[in-house]
Amino acid sequence: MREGKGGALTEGKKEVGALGEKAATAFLKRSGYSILHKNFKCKLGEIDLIAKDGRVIVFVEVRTRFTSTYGSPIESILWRKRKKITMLANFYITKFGLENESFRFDVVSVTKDDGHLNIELIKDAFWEV
Amino acid sequence: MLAKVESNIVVGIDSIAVDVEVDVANGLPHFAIVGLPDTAIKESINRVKSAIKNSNFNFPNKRITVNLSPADIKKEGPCFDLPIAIGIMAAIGYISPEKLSNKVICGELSLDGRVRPIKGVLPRSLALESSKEFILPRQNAREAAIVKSSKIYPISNLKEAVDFLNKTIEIRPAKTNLKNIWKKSNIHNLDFSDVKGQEHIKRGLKIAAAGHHNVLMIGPPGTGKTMLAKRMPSILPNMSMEEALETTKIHSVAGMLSNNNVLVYNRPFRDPHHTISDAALVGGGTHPVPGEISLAHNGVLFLDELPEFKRNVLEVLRQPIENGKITISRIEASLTFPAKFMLIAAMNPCPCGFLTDRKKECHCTPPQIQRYLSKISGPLLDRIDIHLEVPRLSYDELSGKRFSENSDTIREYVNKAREVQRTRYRGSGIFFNAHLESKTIEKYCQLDEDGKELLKMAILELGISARAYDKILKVARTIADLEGEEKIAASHISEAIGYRSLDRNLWS
Repeated sequence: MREGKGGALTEGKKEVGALGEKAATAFLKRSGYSILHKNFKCKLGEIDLIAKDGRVIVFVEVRTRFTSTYGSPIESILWRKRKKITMLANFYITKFGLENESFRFDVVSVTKDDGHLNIELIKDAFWEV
Repeated sequence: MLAKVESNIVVGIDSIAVDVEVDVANGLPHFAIVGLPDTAIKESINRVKSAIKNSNFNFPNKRITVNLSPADIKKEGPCFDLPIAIGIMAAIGYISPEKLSNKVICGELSLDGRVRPIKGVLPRSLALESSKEFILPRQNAREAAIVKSSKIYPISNLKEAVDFLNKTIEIRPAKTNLKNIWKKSNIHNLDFSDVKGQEHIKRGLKIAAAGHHNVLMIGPPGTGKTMLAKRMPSILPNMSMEEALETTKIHSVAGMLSNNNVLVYNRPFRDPHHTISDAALVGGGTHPVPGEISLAHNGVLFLDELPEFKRNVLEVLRQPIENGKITISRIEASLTFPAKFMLIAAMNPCPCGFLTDRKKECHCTPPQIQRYLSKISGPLLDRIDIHLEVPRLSYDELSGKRFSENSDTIREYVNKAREVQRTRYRGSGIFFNAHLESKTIEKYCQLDEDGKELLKMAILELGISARAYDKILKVARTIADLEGEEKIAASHISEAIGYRSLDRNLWS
C-alpha cells in the first residue's frame, strides 16, 4: 500500500485496477461490444479485455487512475506498453487462427472525479509498432 | 485489395518511373512503406493519415503495406505522399482501380489535405510517354506544361484529386505559352554601354564571349570588374531552346522555379560568395544536388576575389572546366550533372589592391604578394585563356561621353564568330575555340608568314612558356574569327599576346 500510486490509502493498486476493469466492461457492453475474454493471460503478459465490436475484434487496454498526480491514464501508454500489447495480440491471433479478421486496439480510461467514475473510450487508439 | 499508382522520382537531372503499390489487408492495424524509402518518405505515413482524415474520408484501420518499385533504387523526398494516399483510397474503394491506369501522380500533402509543390517537375514531365496523363500540384503545373507531349492536370487538394479521378469534376489541362515566355528571352536589363571607358577590357570580354574563353580580370578595387562581369550574359550568343531546357532542368531539380518563373530563358549568371564550400560549388549531399557550377550551365560563373576562395574549392573546378560536367559520387548515388559554364574570375593584384594602380601606392611586401598570388594554382590558371588588367580610370574617361558599343551590337559580332566556329568544327566534337587542344590547334590555327615571325619573336624576346603559346594561338584564332579572317595574321597574334601580359608580370 503506497501513497499516491493508488490514490486513497484504503484502495490498493490491484483493487483499483479490478474496479476500473469492471466499470470498463459494463461500459463496453452498454456501447454494444460483446466481451470475448477478460484478462486473457499467457506467459507474455495479459490483455485486459478482448471484445467484439460488430465484425472487428478489439483488444482493450483499461487504464485506471484515481489521482491525476501522474498525468492522465492515456498518457501512461508508452511505446513499450504498445509493443507488449501488439505482441500479445499476435499471440492471440495465432492461437485462435484469426489471421483474416479485422482488429483494432482501443483504450478505456477510468478516472475518479468527485467520487464519480469517469469512463472514456478511445477507439483505434494506436497501431501495431 | 491491391491498388497500383504510377509515379516517378528524379535521379540527377533525369526521371525514373516508380510504381506505388498499396495493399490494404486484414490483420492488426499497421502501416509500412518498403522499397528503400528515406526518412521523408517514411514520415509520409503521418501526413497521409491526417490528410485523408481531414479531407473527410475514412482511413482504414487495417494492415497497409506500400511498396515503391523498382525496389533497388533509393528514393527520397515527399513526392510520394499523394500517390500513396490515392493508392490507399483506391484500395478501399473510393476510386475504382481501373481509373488509375495511364495516370502518373506526384505531390506532397499537407495535414489538411492540400497538395504542396515538389521539386524537379520538368525532368519528370520530359520523361513521360505522351499517352500518360500527369496529375501534379497546381503550383508546378505551368513548369510541367512546357513539355507539350502529355496532358498536365493541376490539382490543389486531395479531395479534388479523388473527384477528378472519379470523373465527378473536370479539370482543364494546364497550358504554358512558351512563345510568350520566349519573347522575353535575350532581353537584358544590364548593358555594356552602362560601363564607362575600359574599352580594351570590353574588347577582351567580347573575344572571350566569341570563343568561349575563360577570363581572369585583375585590377585595383572599384575599377568596374564586377560591373563588367555582370553584363557578360548580355553579350553571349542567344540561348537556344535546347540550352534553355537543359538549364531549366537543373534549376528545376534545385527547386528554384515557380509558376511565375517556369523557364530559364536567359543565360544564368551565378556569383557565389568566396566563403562557399566545395560541395556547394560543384554539387553534393547524401542525395547529390546540383551546385553553383551546374546552375551556371550554359551561362557565366563569376568568382569575385578569386584568391579569397578556399584552395580546395578552386581545385575542384579543374575537372568540370575541362569536361563540361561533374560526377558526384556518394553512398546513395553517383550522379552526373552538366556544368558547361564560362568562368569569369576577378581579383586584386595584391592584398591591398593597389599594386597596378597608377595613383595610389601599394604597401604590400613582396612575400605578401607572392603568398596572395600563389593561392591560385598553375593548373587552374592553365584553364584561363584571357587575362585582363583592369586599370583605374582617369577623370576624363569617367566624365567623358565617348561612344561605347552596346550589348546588342557586341552580341551580333559574337553570334557571327560562333557561326564561323560551328561551320569549321562541324563533326569534330569541338564547339568553340576554347576547346582546342595542342593537336587540333596545329590543324585549325594556321598562321600567315608575318604571324609566324611575330610569334617566334615573342617566344624569344618575352620568354613565353609552352602553356602560354597554345593559349595565344587559341585566342588569336577567335580574334581572326571575329574579323572573319581565314588565316591568323600578325595583328591577331599581337593582340592575343596582350591578353597574356599578366603571365609575365605577375606569375613568371
